[in-house]
Amino acid sequence: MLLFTACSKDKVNEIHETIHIHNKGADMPVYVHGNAEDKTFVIMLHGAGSFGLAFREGAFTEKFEEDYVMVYWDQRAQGMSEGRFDYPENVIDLMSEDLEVLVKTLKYRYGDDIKLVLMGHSWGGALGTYYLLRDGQQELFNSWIIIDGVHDFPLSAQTRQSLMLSIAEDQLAAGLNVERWEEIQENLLELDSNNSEDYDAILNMALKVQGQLIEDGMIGDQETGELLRRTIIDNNPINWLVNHANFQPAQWGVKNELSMADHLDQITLPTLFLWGKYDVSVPPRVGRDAFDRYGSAEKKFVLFEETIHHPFNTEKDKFRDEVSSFIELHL
Amino acid sequence: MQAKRKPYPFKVSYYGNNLINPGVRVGSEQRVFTIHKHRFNKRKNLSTKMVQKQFYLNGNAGMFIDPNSHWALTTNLGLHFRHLSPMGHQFILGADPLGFYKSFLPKTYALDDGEIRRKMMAGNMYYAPGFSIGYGKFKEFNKNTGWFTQLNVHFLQDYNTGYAMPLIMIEFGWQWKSLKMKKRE
Repeated sequence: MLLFTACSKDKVNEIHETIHIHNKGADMPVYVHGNAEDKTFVIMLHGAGSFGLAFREGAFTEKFEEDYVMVYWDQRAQGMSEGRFDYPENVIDLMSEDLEVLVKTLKYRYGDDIKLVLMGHSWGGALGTYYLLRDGQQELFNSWIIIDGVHDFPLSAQTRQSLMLSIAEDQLAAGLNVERWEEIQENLLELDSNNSEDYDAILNMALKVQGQLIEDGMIGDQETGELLRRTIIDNNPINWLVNHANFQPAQWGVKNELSMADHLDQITLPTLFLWGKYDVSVPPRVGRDAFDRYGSAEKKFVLFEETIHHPFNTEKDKFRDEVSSFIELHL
Repeated sequence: MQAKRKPYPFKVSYYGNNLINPGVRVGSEQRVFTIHKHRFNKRKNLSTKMVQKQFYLNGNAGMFIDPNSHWALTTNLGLHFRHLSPMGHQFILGADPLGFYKSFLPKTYALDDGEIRRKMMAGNMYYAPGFSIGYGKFKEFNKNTGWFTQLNVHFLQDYNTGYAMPLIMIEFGWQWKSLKMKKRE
């Protein structure tokens, strides 16, 4: 639905509209916002359990929409997506096909000469990586920005426990909440990351570690008010919750031990890796592994020292500057 | 011969998806049967107050807009129960086994023979049974004229990979008799 398009002199190049893409039984909303003057479109791939508009705040509205057109997409059976289809055998393959339809739609609607940047967070990092490995897709993009994204689910699961143990040791050495960190350390040592039966228990420990890091003041401030508004007002929270509960692409990746590690040398696109130091969901070691394997001549790895999994929420200024300068460098 | 044609109460309401996505709904009802109960005043030895328990067929058609993504039409038909107190308070419970939901999606594009084309009249139809619970008050007890507020929950069947998606609608409405008594020879 067209909300507002190009009606004032100052905002002659602005686009603010919702379009939908349809592919194989799914109808997926695409929220397009920003300045089209340079014809640069940044496609944002959200993580599992999130939705496109969850990102529409902070650096995304204050900076990126001022310079580029941001494309916030609700992936298949996520957010406000609807339709009817059978649960696919290969979830990521079908979703990368959806992304291909989105890219073609953007070129059809806004012109074949638009410049494209791909940005993916968490599961969105996996989806973007898989998509870029499809024949001929890299050529359509100027750059690729991966934020705490996963390319190797088994590696992510294996490194999660060791990262948490290392965090616990650092916190104990610093003498912060010693009793609590000792308890966390003790619980972690009872688990085995190579045992699939301990997978959920390790994830539960990750939640405890995150909570404790926030309590210890190790994580940057997060403003949750705007996100809450986006979740409840701009998004339908019931659709979001029910869709997420019933279609979990990241769980498919875990179950199928999805790994694209051996193919990453085929990605030669300029790539920016942004990682939270304390990311116990997708540890920085996963990001470093991807960084080392990428075939890109121009690649950069940036660690966010006060961040768990969402650098755009906890270190907004640094996130804005890194993304903005990388996009500009490769336009 | 003179016969009375029963008036059908007509209802109009604000019909908000999750309260905030605005919509409108119209409907009517057809009484199936009514149980009258008189409250007995022992002191005066008189039956003075009357409680009604009404069962009626209820039908509605509505629409709402979710400004960020789509708009939708809904219809439903079901059996409702109304408890009507002597003071005009009404408590409503309803089951709507027949319900349908149709979404309309703006500017939808799909791949067709390798080319992107705009898909006209895009959207999806869902079978959407539901239930409702409400409260209201009749201003004029015998004329069925009053207001009501109702929570309606519909379940959109076969949503995405086949699960049921709840649709929560909050309704504030008015009802009155739409047809006047007519005499027939």
